[in-house]
Amino acid sequence: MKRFWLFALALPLAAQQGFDFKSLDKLGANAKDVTNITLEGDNLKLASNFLGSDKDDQSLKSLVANLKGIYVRSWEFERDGMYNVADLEPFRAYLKASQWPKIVEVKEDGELSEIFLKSSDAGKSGGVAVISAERRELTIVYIEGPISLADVAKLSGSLDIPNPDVLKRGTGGASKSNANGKKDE
Amino acid sequence: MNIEDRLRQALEREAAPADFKRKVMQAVPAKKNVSLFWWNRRLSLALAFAVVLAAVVPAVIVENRHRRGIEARDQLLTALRVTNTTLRHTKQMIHRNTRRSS
Amino acid sequence: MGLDFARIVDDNQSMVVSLAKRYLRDPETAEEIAQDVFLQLYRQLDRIETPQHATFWLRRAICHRAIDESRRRKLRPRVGLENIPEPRAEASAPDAMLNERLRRLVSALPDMPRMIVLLRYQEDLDPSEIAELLEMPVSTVKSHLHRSLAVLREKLGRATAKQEACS
Repeated sequence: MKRFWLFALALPLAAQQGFDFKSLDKLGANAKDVTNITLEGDNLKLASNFLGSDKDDQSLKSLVANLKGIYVRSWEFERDGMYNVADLEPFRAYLKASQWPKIVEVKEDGELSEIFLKSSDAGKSGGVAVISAERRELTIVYIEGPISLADVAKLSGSLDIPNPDVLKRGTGGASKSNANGKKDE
Repeated sequence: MNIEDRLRQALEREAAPADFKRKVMQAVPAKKNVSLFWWNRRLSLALAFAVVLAAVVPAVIVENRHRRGIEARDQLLTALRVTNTTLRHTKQMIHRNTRRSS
Repeated sequence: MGLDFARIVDDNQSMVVSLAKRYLRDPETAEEIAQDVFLQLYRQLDRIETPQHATFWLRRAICHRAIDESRRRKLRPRVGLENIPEPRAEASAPDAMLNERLRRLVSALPDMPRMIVLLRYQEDLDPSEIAELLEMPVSTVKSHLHRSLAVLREKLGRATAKQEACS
């Protein structure tokens, strides 16, 4: 507990320097699958430049155009109870110190979801953070940079897998063969 | 049947069209005819190497950047899809909670 | 000892054509690049050591060619799920319709997840083999698979529920 308070006192300075996601690595100690994405600066610009020219891609491009960084950490576990929610406290404390008020908290059947929006001017927030703590999956999303609530709504709604095309000539459906044997994962 | 078994069933290979092999074999050259007019073997190899290097090196640099860009783009799309799934999950929890309390 | 090219075509044409067709959703282009890939193999046949090597080579070649072709032609689909026409009369059994619907949902996935799903469930490759083939980290492959399955599960559930409500 003492260590936590010392950490919390040090946070106002740390808040200016950005959150160190390495401090969350212990959450994944027992994870069977880990997704770890850090996109910032030139890499984020490069990624955006390689989006296509269709409507969906242009929509994404304008969404990410002014962002400073996108960070995703997601851990998947074999069974319930394989991570400690308390290990998220440094991240929550950082958000609080950096003025990212929590705007949504919802709990259900032992699961928890929280959304934080960074205060800013001109009708846009300075970022959005999401913590989703499910029984066997823990996800943190941290998007830094000007992002409007409309963009957040888009991110929670219309951003989806591309719509399927009509198959112009059908799929054949002739007799099937599978030369290779099955392999186990 | 779970989704993975369903996918295996739905995605079993189809047979190639009946004339596919014939088209491939027709396109294959009957005999490889390679004739080289040899001048000085070492000189011609060195020249060929220099030409290839001059052509390939910039292409490799461009190819590397292209590859890095594609990887970064794929990471971006994955990050946004994870965000989408997570926010939608939160929305569903809110809707269920709202229905229960009303 | 030289390999029998005709035999290689016999053994692998189904794999190559299926992958290309399912990925590109354009049978004509898929067949064209499938033929190209076999011709490419023929030109390099002296470097191929075994029939298994040929299969690995062909699978890798068709994956990369198909991905490049898709990016070049921007074949990403545009029509809403609701607008997909009903399956043809001969595929009228419920299972066959479900399979058809699932194939269309797979065809709607973005480029890389679509290829990964095809390699996993059509070709039965495990994630490390897919990672080697596509030259990406295993964790990225697993992440794409996990997300794609979640989306396919959800979409299939919704589409099936909609159909039952209408019938």
